Amino acid sequence: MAEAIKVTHTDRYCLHCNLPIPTGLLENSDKEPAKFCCKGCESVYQILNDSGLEAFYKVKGDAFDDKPQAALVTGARYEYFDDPKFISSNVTPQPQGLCSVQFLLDGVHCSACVWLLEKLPILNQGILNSQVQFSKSSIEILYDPLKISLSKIAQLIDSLGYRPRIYRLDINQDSYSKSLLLRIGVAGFCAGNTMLLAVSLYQGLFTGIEERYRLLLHIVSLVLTLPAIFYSAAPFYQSAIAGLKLKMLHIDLPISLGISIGFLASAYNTFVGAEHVYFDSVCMLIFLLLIGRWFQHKGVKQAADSAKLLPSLLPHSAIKVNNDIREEVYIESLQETDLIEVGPNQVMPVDGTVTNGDSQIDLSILSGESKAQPVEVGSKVFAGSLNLGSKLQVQVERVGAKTRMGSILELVDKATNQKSQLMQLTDRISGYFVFFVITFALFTFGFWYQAGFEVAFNHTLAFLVITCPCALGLAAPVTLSVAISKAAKLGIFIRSAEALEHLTKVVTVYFDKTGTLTKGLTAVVETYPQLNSISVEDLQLLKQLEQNREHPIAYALLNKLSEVISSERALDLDSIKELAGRGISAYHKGDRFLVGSYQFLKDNGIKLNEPQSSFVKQSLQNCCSPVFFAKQDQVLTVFAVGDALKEGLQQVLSSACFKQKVLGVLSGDNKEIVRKISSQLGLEKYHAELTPEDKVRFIEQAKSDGAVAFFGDGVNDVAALAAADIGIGVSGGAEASLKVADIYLADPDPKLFSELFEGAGRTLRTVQRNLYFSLIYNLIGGSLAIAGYINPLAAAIIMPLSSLTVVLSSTMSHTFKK
Amino acid sequence: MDIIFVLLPISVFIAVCAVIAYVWSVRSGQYSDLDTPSIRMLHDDEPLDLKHDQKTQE
Repeated sequence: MAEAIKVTHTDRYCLHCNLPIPTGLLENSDKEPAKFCCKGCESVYQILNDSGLEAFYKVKGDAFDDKPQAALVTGARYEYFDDPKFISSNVTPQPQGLCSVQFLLDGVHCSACVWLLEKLPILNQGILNSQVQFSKSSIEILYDPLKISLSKIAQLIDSLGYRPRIYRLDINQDSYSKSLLLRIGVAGFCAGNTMLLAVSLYQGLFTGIEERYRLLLHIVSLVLTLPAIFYSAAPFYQSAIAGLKLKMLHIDLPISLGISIGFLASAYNTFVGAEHVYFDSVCMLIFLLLIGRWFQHKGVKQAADSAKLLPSLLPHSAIKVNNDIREEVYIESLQETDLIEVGPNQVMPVDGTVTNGDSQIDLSILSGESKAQPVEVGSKVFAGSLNLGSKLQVQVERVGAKTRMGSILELVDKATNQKSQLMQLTDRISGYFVFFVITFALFTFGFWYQAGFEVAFNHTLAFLVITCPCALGLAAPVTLSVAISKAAKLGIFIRSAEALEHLTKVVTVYFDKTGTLTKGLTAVVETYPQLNSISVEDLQLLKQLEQNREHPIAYALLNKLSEVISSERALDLDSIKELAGRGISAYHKGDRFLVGSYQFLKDNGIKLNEPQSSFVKQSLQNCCSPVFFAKQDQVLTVFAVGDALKEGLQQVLSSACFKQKVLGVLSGDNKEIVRKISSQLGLEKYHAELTPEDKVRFIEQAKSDGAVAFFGDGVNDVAALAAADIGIGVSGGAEASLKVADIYLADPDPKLFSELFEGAGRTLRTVQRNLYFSLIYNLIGGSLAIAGYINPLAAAIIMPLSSLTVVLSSTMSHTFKK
Repeated sequence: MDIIFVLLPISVFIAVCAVIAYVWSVRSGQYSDLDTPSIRMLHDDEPLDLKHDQKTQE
């Protein structure tokens, strides 16, 4: 099978995912060299080979190589999926005693994944069909509940390296796009056919046409227009009426007026046998406008239901401990005072008190504090925090919505609902527009009345049809949706067109610190002296010392070392001594080596030389902690370890688009660090040690000066993201921030910060330009109509031309650079 | 030219049939997922055949 995989260094890359195999694994396996980067990949490989699905690696081909990703096998048992409560709310019964269920999957990233997941029926007889929706990373499974349980299906999917999560299809969204598609199709049919007939009628205008043929063509056109008027155009009337009820002149009002008057008058002309009908123009108008709506609908990311936030952040299940019996239970069935167990690297599912064990937990999800917090018996722990150390036993106090996390998300809900709806530019314009159109229509009618009712009627009709704001209706949605899709290619995902308009009005910009301004992880920022001035053997020793330590700093050092060490050699180390929180020391060939903090160094009587201590001072100023590596009594190198600022950030923040704005930092982190970072970036406003609730308060305060944008990435920012006029989620943090953010940056690169504001500005200018375009068209067309020069043919030419100009100008304009 | 009184309704009827087919295709969800089918068709049967070939070679 090995030949089937495109692997250049077979012994160094994982057979399953093509990721490099960690060097530790290569050495530790005594029998044969390791073939996999992790247990997960190994088990998936095994399953695929056992079930004759090894063709996966053929399908995979090069698709995998762009973004290798290790299999996400969690080994969870998903027993709570069999809870009757759970089944009744998530499984849809199908005919013949079958059931269907939908999961959202983590880890679907290429076409081979689709291939594999649709082969599930081969792996288990109980599964009859599985269908993947790639764009949503979801899978729909049809299964026989008598042959396989839901938990078994989940285990199977998990064992292939995809973590199933429960997912409820947004039926409204789906049915809306279906009905819009149907309306477009019907309108297109009507428009196409009436136009065919209209061509004969135009010909008739020039060469003359027998009365009865003209009548036939008119009547057939009338009949063909009916579906467009009564079915396709229905949403326009609805929103026009809804706008009137709110005493607002919506853009749909002039549209509705134009099409209904155009239709009614043409129908009247048909019955009285008059010459002018505009059925084709009316149908075309509806068709084009609906296409505009489709763009609008497609460009807008589906609004997330924030009620679903809680389950997506907290585990669905917990290990309940009852007299030494451990069972996995559905989180909702936990009671107060129940005991649960939380293993290392697991997310705390509930709020509670530790009753057994001590460990360190990462609370950053709630507080933004980047340092791990020690916990012991009696400490309070909160749902959503991550257990970094060893196993903990926790007594349940609050579950689900009652947890601290639940109350923060409630805040999010409230903020999302209260978010002010910005009146769209086109709506504002359409107010004046309706007024002018009606005034001029009356004027036209009055002006031509002395030439007879019929002439006045026809000229007024021509005026109303030609001024029907097709281009106006297309100008904003097409430009915005083109801009949104261009932005998406850059990794800027904009959820609503309103957000783009809002962006141009932002006065205050607040940033979260960790993960937004900084890289969000502990890493070696600098070393002094450079690592290549040290012998490979010494570095090898350092690596070995750090290898098995579970500590963020150890990971950071190992990461840095992997850049310089290529060969592998195990060296002898004697009398290894580790002092928790200080450092580690060992002997090699009689030389003493040690790695650790300054305190550790001092305790061992090692002194720094002049350049080294100035490097330490400098790194402390840059918010880094120094870590020392010493041999005997001499410091070999100093590592500055910290959460470094993102590269190019200073440049971005000083760019033109941020010039007129008030910039600030809102962070949950330590005051000193936040102060240093802000001063380094030249940000005047900074607030540290904030709870999520505090962040919301500061944003609300700033709102009195004008629109507020907030960049954040963590779950502790979720409430703030929702409270700000524009919440911008930055990649790297919790997925949850994406759901409430109006805009999501998929690339943590700060260049996107400025591109976002600049692009929004360019987009708005394009929208304005298009609006002027369409207004000018209407001005010209309208005055020609008043002068009596417009017949149905002229209308049929001018109208699509104006729409075309607008569409071209929006698609060609440089909104977002790409 | 009176034939147009017959031909026009017939052609409209045919066009309506096309609309009905379109309505059916939308309702049956053919437009709901436009991304996956393009991926799926790339490896419908081929990989399994390859596997078969390998087995026979062995």
